This record gives sequence, structure tokens and C-alpha cells, in this order.
Amino acid sequence: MNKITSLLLLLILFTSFTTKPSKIITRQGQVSFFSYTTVENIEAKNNQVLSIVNLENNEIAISMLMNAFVFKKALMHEHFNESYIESDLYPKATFEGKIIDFDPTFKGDQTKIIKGKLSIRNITKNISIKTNITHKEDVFLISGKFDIVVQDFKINIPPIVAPNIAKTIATEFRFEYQPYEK
Amino acid sequence: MNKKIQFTLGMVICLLIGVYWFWQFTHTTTINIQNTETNTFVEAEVLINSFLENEAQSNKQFKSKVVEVTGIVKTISFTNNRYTVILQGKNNDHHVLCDLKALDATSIKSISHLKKVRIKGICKGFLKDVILLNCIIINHKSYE
Repeated sequence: MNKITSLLLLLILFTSFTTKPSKIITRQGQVSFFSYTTVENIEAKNNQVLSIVNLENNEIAISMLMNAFVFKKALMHEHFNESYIESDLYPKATFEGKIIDFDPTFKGDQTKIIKGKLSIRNITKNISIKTNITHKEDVFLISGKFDIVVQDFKINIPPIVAPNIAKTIATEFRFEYQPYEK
Repeated sequence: MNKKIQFTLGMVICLLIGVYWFWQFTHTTTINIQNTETNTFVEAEVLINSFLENEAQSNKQFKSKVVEVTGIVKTISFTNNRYTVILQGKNNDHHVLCDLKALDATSIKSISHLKKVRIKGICKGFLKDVILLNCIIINHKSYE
């Protein structure tokens, strides 16, 4: 009887130690964007993007502060926040979606599509993004690229600087997730 | 002749405005946090709780302000080629993320896990954590 109890206890202990996390998180995801024109190139990076993935249903949520994008020039940052994005009125950009046909138990590299809703300046658009997912031990790395059409989010560019800003902004992201422990 | 002068003058004014905009857009450098006066001094836990209780009010109080925050180092991370000092809150779910201004290995060596630290930076707002950018470690010798 004692042996059975010990075995059961061992089994419970083993199960609790090998339980996979149901959620993964990054607080320091990176999102960068590039505007290429013949006049000039503009680049900005945000290194404090929050993202959580629920591994039970493959839902992904992303949130970032628009004023946390870092530019090479302070005035570019000022124009981006005050004139184009209006980050006082719309401080956050968010994405809510699902990683399609994603198997979180698979170790190694996978290419998957993420479908969901991107919200910038309170305007929401459905998007699909091709992503690379690398799973090594408990760490998941999700990265990809997609384009944002400036007009889709009703961003007003003054005619005088219009040649300096691309109509389509190339966007990249890189999120390194760890198990979410509260 | 008058119309020709008016047209030329208009063109010159437009050109000057364009040059001014272009210069403004491309030639302003980033803020020097070390020489910028601190707006608010606050404990990490107080700052986190403030945002948890009332984010809108806290944004008015702290956002875009130069904040000096005192707290306990939870971790020092090196992600995306930059150092971030993470200050702990009351629980494990909310922190203060202090993104250091440069790859300053000397000042990073002066702090360690669970030690008290004073950091100055610009508050950007709150997601799950309070975010501070352009940070410098204040109680490091080179800044005293």
C-alpha cells in the first residue's frame, strides 16, 4: 500500500514538473518600421512591445505604446506622435489574432500564418501575416514582416512633407516569448 | 513685371518654408537626459500602483515627464542589443522597465539583482509594466 502511495505521489510530482505553460509572454518584443523614399529613409524601433500567446487555443495579443518608438532624430519622433499618429489621442496600437494550424509542442522551426485585427488610431483592419516560429526548450521566437498602407489608418501627411514619407510602410517584428508565470 | 516679381517672391518663400521644414525634420538631435531636470521622484511600487489604479490620471502625471524612480532590481536583461533594468513591483505581474540610454557596461556592473537602485528616464506610459526610456543609472559613480 505504501509503495502505491509513493508511486502515486511520484507521478503527481512528475506531472506537475513537466506541465507545459499554457501562456507565453514577452514584455520586450521589437517592432520596427521603415519608410523608404528617394528623398530620405525613416526608421523607428519600439523595444517594449507586450505580447501574450495562449498555447491552448493559439490566440495571440499584442499591445504597444506609439510614443515608445525611437527615431534617429527627436523631431521625427515629435512629428510622428503629434501630427501623424496623434499618440495623445490614440496612445496604443493593438493586434488580436490567431496563429493558424500552430502546434506548440513541435520543437524546431515552423512557418505559419497569423490572422487577426490590427488597430491603429482606433481604426481596425483585418490582416494576415506570414511568420517564422522557432521553438527551443521553453522559448518561442516569432518573427515576420508585413506592410502597412498609411491611408488605411487615415494618417494625414502634410503635402509639403509627402515626398519624404512612403505610402506603404514596411514593418518587422521579433518577439522572444518565455513561459508566463504570474 | 509686377506679376513676375510676385511669382518669384512666392516661389522663394515656398522654397524657404520647404528648406526650414526639411532642416527641422532631419537635424534635431535626441534629448540629453543627464542634463535634463527631473520632474518627479517616485518609488517603483508607487508608480506601478498609480497606473494600476488610474491609468488616465497617471498618464497626465507621469507621461513624457522626466522621472527618477527608486526600486529593487528584479532582473537586468540584454534583449534586442540593449540593456533593460527591470524593477520589481509588489507582485510578479507588473514591473518598471527601464530601457538604458546606451550600452553602458560600466554603470550596469554597478547594480545587481535585488539591490536598490535609482534610475532617471522619460516615462512613456503603461502596458503591463510602466515603461521608461532614455534611462541612466543615477547612483552610479560617473553620474554623481
